[in-house]
Amino acid sequence: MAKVKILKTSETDIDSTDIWRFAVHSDYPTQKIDFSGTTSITIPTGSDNGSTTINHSLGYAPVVYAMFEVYGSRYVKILGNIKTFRPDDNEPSLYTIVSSTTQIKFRCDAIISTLPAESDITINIYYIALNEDV
Amino acid sequence: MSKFIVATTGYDVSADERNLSINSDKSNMMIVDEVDIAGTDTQYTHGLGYLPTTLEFIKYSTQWFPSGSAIYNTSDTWVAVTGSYNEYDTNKIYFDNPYELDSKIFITGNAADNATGSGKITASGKVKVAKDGLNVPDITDIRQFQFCSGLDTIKKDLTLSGSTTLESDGTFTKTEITHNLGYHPVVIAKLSSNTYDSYYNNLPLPINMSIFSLVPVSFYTTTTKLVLFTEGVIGDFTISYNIYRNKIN
Repeated sequence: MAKVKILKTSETDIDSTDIWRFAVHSDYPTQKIDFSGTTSITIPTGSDNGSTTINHSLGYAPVVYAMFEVYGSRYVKILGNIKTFRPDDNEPSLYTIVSSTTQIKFRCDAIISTLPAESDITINIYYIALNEDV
Repeated sequence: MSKFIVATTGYDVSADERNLSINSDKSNMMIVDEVDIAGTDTQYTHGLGYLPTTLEFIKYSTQWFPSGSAIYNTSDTWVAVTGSYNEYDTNKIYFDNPYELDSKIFITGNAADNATGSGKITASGKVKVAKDGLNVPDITDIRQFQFCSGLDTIKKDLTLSGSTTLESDGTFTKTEITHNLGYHPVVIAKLSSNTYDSYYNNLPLPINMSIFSLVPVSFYTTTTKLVLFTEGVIGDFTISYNIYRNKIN
């Protein structure tokens, strides 16, 4: 079968068996974006956690790249769970992301804090869902 | 409108999107920068003007772990919690790296929210596919393209990828997957299911299953193996993993 190969910049051997040298090689599917967007989590007044869910119809659990807002317009990338800080007052919190065959769920749990929250806390999230599962 | 589709070997162009190498209807994840970060660095200027998406790995000795992972050496001994994570803004990456471990970050030109801005000169290569309504000669910003041949993509190895089971009695437990690539490949993995706590099902690795103590499920790579491990919990863990033909080191 014919193959489509494109070498990375500065690579010269189109017959190389080192696949990392290729930008594209038709023996290997690549990561592509199916959908993306923005959402947010609200930790309501009196609670110590919040979550939000995105429904999808891919039929498989997509790989998701997500960036959660922390403080001062900074974001952290979430894979699995990560302990970092919420945007309100640097309280340490645990961020998680779960991808299933029908939903993507984002969640934030307080770890050690003065919670329950004295007022609503909003955490902005950017996400990209891929045409790829794990 | 005409389309440009390259099916992965063994599939045809009508195959599921997961088995296509290029599809002009979809935006490829395209790597604009591969950054080697010294453990003492505190920040790096990516300069994109928007939030990028990334893949992040940290190095300990001859092993590479996903950023944020607990660190064990090849003798299965815990050496660092790490807790390392990176913060991003539209111009820089800021490192929280208490153990000063070297790291590698793959930065894609795709905006974190897939926004289609313009103004940067990041596209390159001779084969380019613009997004709908845009003309290739008029644009230079990677966010305006579906594909540019001058930028690396993230290439999944369908043969090496798979799933396995960890059966943990609470002590350090590992499962080794042989890849024999001769380098450290990019890996993404997730905990598909477990008998310990279903809250963690479908959660990508690395995971710390307790927020108060070290109870990790994670992995590291060597040049020949992917090693999946856990410690501190009792149960069976099904872990799915993708191995990519992209080289960390």
